[in-house]
Amino acid sequence: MKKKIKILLILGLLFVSIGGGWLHYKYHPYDATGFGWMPFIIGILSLVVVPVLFYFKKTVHWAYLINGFSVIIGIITMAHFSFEVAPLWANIVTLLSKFVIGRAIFCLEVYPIDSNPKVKGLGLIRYPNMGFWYVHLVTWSLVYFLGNYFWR
Amino acid sequence: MNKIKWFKPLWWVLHIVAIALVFWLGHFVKF
Repeated sequence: MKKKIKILLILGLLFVSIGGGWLHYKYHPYDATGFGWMPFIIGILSLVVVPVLFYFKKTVHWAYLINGFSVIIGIITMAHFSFEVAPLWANIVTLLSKFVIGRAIFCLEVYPIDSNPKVKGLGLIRYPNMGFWYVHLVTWSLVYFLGNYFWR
Repeated sequence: MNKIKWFKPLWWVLHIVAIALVFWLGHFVKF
């Protein structure tokens, strides 16, 4: 059953990525706007590379990292778009499901099914715990903002 | 993961590349 659940989750991830990539391509094809290249490249990565890496136990950590960071960069750029052009908050919430599915596959593969690991202190903000992602969301946002603000 | 010999250099390379890339992305993405 575990393998079946994992494949279902990978399919879920694939469908979310297809939908997201499709929407982006409809709104801004890569050849029409410069920034359209970014969701195009990340979309191809999410469609082709991430599901394969999630499938094999040996590469599940890489899939978890690539998936998580692709979500972070999506949140940051769409929040930027929301502030500058038109609100995309609903799309950002939809994108969060991609992260959650990725984390579910990771937990299913890495932790015993009935385990309840207790993490304390600095461990909370270290890989692979949720704090790791919060820290990276904040720092990536800051670095992105600095690049946008000071490099014109 | 810390036990892997090449983990530390990889950690530094990933961080430097990521910071440079995200900083450039902030510059590149103009709405």
